[in-house]
Amino acid sequence: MPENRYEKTPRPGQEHFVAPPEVVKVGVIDAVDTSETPSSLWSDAWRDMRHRALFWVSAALIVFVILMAVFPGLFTSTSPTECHLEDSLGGPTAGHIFGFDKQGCDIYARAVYGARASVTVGILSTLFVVVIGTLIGAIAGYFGGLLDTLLSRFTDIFFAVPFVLAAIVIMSLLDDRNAVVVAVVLAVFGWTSIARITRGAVLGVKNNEFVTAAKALGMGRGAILGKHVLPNSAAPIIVYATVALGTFIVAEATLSFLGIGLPTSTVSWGGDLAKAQTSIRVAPEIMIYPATALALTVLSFIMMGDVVRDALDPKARKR
Amino acid sequence: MTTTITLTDGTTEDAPVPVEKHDDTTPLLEIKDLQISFTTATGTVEAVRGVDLTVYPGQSVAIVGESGSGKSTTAHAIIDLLPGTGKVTGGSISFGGRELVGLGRKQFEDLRGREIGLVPQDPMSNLNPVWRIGAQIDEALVANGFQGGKAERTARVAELLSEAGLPDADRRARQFPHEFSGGMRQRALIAIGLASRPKLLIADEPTSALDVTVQKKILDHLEGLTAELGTAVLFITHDLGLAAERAEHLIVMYKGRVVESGPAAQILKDPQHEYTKRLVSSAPSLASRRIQSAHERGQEADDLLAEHADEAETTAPDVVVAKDLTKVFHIRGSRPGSHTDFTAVDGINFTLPKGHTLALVGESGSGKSTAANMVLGLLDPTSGTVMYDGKDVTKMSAKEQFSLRRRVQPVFQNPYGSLDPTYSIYRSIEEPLVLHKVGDRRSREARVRELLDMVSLPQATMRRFPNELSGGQRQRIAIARALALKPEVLVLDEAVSALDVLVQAQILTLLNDLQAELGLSFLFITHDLAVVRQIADLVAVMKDGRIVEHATTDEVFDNPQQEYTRDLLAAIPGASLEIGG
Repeated sequence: MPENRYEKTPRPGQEHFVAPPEVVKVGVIDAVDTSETPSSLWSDAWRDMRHRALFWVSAALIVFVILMAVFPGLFTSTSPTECHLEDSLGGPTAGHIFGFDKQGCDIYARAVYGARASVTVGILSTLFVVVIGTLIGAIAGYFGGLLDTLLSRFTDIFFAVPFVLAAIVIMSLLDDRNAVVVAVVLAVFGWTSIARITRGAVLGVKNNEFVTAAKALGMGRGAILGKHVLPNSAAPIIVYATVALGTFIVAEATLSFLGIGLPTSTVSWGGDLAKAQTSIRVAPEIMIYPATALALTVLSFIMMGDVVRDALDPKARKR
Repeated sequence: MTTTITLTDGTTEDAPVPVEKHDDTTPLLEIKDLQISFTTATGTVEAVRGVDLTVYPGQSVAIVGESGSGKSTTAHAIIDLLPGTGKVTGGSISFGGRELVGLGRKQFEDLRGREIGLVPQDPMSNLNPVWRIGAQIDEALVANGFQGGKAERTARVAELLSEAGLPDADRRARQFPHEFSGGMRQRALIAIGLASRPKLLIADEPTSALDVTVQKKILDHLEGLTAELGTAVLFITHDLGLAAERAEHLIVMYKGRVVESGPAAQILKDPQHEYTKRLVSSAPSLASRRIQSAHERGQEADDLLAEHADEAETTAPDVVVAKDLTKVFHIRGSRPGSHTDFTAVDGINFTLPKGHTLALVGESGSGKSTAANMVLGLLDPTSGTVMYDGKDVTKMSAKEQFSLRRRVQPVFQNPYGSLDPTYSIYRSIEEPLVLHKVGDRRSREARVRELLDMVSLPQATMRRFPNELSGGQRQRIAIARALALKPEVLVLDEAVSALDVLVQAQILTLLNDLQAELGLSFLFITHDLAVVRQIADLVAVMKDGRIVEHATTDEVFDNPQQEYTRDLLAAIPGASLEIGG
């Protein structure tokens, strides 16, 4: 290190320069900006979603489907079970815009009433898997050790069972089948992904310093898990649950199509698809209506999941 | 300048790339009125506004500034590595007489590495973990058009590594990054940066992730190496002391502008701009004594020093006493059931007198944080005791331990991890009060407001969320939360290490004021001896789990007894500089 280097006269372009104080004003160190509106993860996510067309399209579709499920009377005054064989395979007429199926039932009314079965099973099974999966995943991830090993292997066992296949076997053994039973059976084999996702999220959150700070306050382990760890792990769970809702609706339709889902007395899109199959060569349009309703419902939940993921996880956002 | 280089092992040989004779009077790099802006969803952000900069061949120049000042952006613009939407919108960058703004991608690729090398900031993430070190240097050689076969390249790789100060280079070249320590990785990155003998080396915070003693060794080595090769170095750093020690010309940036530039010595001795003055006065490496509390600032300085030294040694009762504290971790071995023992803390003793600050100083792996966690009761000691007012923590009942929590509270290092992002500031500060059932709703709100006043934040902050606050502000919130239960002891685990210098000085002053006002005792854990001088009364230097030196701050700084303490002190950047003012 040359000792005299500080004594040299500066070279051209390196003379001592001081910016005029009026050009660069030095503010208060680290002042709080109180001008903007308060924001949190959730309010930021809402702000982000609000500006996306996809969010409004899928939200409108979801609201529409849920309205159909809860108040089918708003959309049609025709009963889906009041069928007259003389109308069999009849074309559209006034008051029956989609025509009639083989049994002479109003296709439009059946499409409207079919929403209830799909939405009930979808929402119930999603609720069940979120509860089971979050509980198992959170306990495994947070407490770790032997408990984690046991619960993770338990999850792996269920993971190895083909979801629809297992549901088919169980459903065919049951006599009393309704929406709740279908939802429970789907949930029993469908919670593994949520458990894995939750475990991963919890592992990521639990080593944060705010968790250590809570421990240093004397907070118990359960309280820390519930108050700090889980709320911070919620985002990926919500995203997965939204998409899973769509897949459960598909699973219910699959079971009903195979005749082992909801009983034939319940109006469901899957059941109608199975019935329409018999006359697909003569009247393919009978199949199109329940199939479209099913596809649109599933699509709207999957699109919503996509929007929610983008809003909650800016890293996944494609620009 | 000769055309031979000296290798670290003492042998000399002809340099493969002849170093050109420098023309010292024409600038190598000349930046004029550089403008850079980023496009974001909310509009255009002007990151760099009219920066001028000149580097002569073989010279070392440093850009100093806090985070967000535009120092890295300026440096990255030189080699067209602006991230994301960054774009040069005006001005010129001339390198060796050639205009760089507006060059094509191919031309920049030819320039990078061959004429301008880069040593990036983070040695942990800048080496590809699945490639051997040698392969990564080899890649740099190939990319920069090294003429020669595989055998020659392999020989050259070993040469470069040993030149960067890695002994046993042949074997090292075959290792993977995870087998290297942080310092060794940084040396490998230096070898890559200098592989093609560039005329200019941009060193972007090259050592900020390393321990001070390692930092000093690497910077010394880099300085010697670039002097031999005649390479100009452009340092990017937040550390004024480091910049002044390593560069002859300084450029101080603030909010995208150059606020002051000139000869390093002149800027340090006689800063002119308001911002530079603040920087010089609060740079910890340049500070010579303890920060005074607001109360003490009114008193005579001499009285004060005497008073502090007296108190530390005699009058104050000990709040915390650690006796033969030991922590052994079992590290799981390769076979099931097998394990090795690792003694993180090895029989340490220290006392924390009431109303004073004890600094536990050490480099990474010295066991200082493990010791802090045992004091906090977050880890059970393997043997030994922590006593509060003469009561052994490990023998306390659960109820006693819960009430002890009110008396000792932590503040952690990472301002981005220490607050729950889903909690509003109000809820974060109120949480300890709720948990310990202090007061009703209304009195708790009053207490939160009072605490925000204490840490000098506007009361309106309480309705905000952590992501809206800067690192320093979050750290103040963390301090407010720690103070909520009126504790006697605060354990500050690297509490200011992640902050910019000015913010760091502000927090240290705040802590000092709070100590004087509330009679708090601080256990201050840090790797940074420079900060210790500003805040601590007593110092315990830790190395490999043991306390190697324990004395008052003045004694440790003025008359260090141990070789290791002397090394640590000498490694403080800027320690060798005599700064007036």
